[in-house]
Amino acid sequence: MIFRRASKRSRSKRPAWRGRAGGLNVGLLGLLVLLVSITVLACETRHRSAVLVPVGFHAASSDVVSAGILRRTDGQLDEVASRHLVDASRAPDVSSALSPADRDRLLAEPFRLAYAAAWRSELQRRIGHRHVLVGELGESRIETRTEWLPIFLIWITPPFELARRADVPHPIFELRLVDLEAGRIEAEFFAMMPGKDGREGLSAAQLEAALVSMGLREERR
Amino acid sequence: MRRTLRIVRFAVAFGVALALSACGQRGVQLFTHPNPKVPNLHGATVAAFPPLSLSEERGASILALQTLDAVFAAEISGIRFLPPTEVVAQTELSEEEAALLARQMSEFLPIDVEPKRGKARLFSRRRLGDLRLPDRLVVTLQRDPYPKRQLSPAALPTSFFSGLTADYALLTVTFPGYHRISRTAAMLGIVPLAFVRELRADGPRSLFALYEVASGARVWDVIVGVDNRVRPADATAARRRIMDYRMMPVVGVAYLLTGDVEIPLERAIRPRMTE
Repeated sequence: MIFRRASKRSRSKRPAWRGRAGGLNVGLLGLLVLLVSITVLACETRHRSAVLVPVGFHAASSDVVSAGILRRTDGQLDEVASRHLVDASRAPDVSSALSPADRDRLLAEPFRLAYAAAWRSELQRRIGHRHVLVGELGESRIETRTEWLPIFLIWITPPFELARRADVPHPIFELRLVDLEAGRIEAEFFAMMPGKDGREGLSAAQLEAALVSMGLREERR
Repeated sequence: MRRTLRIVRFAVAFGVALALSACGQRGVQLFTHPNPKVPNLHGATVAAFPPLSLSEERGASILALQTLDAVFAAEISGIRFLPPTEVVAQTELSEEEAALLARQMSEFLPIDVEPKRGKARLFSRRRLGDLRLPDRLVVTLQRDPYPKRQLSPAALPTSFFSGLTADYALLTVTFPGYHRISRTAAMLGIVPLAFVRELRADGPRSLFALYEVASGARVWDVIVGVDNRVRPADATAARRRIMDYRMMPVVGVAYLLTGDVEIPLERAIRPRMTE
């Protein structure tokens, strides 16, 4: 009896990570590995929250030309993305006929576009087409929040906010089809880009997807 | 033991009911900030300017423009309207003036506004005039009972409105909001278990401000928003559906100005039904 009690006491003094034979506790170690892998996997989850906003567009027009894709960081045309745009849309390239100011106006907000009638008709005369496809790789200001979410087995409490920052730049991609005659944007594709893609530029597949969602191109089967 | 089991069973049933009620939340949930008293516009003419946009995402303002043109194409409840197409033809704003107006109207924006209590049902039907809707359409409105913050300039130069044959000018500014949320889930509040980062888009929100054409003074302003969270799939599929949340702030302001929800809703939806 005394011997048994003594052995129990000695077992209870053993640290939790030690097994019965004094080695590692395999069960506890497995649980730790599982927790770490869940955390790592969650961190690795891709930024899949792109928000696409195509606006109703009736029919693909043959009277569309491509004005290229502007990089807002340096105000220059993104040559690779612009080439992808011409290839994917099969719209003639008129980017060389446009000045940086023209591209800025094409990418301006709809209100200013509506009131720039003189410039629109002059541009339409110059390029000889009514619909212009133009895009930009830029930045949008967003708010970021850091939260801590305590979980008590099956009970989840509301998250605690640890930090909040406003006006944080986030890479975006916008592609729009402008009707020069009506002074309207006929279709728009807008996406909040994952950080990596925002730095590396657009792929041909991303551009193709944008054109498909705008109704400017049929989906490849 | 039996008592514990009963409590657990009740908790599970409560949780399931809560989840089901959240999933079953349908329709369009409009909200306003604040809840201003609408001036008497009976017999007056209101000119709806094309919407301004505060974000690089112009989708909301493009759709608002289409909806303003459709909703304000004719008189509602004794109030005459000029749609944006006519306003652009009547007013001759230079590009500098247009840029100045955009700057002035966005001075106090964006504002973080959330829906408050007091939800009222504006519309719940399967038919809209002679249109048969594919599903029951429910539109609710929550009015913010708290005092307002400054939303728009108290006055604008009357030169912006020269040439306009209207008594009032309705200016619209759309401002979508994005939040990137980094969340760490912690077991027992201490042990970090998982880290998730997601990007969320608020429902569309628009500022509407009514200015007197003769004096340039502001007579009324309000933010109308849609509480429904816009998921990527919603936005992508929106053009194939009759209802797009981005057109609803315009329907909301038309209701606030005229007191009629059915006519604005029908005019907004009809082109999408017959497309």
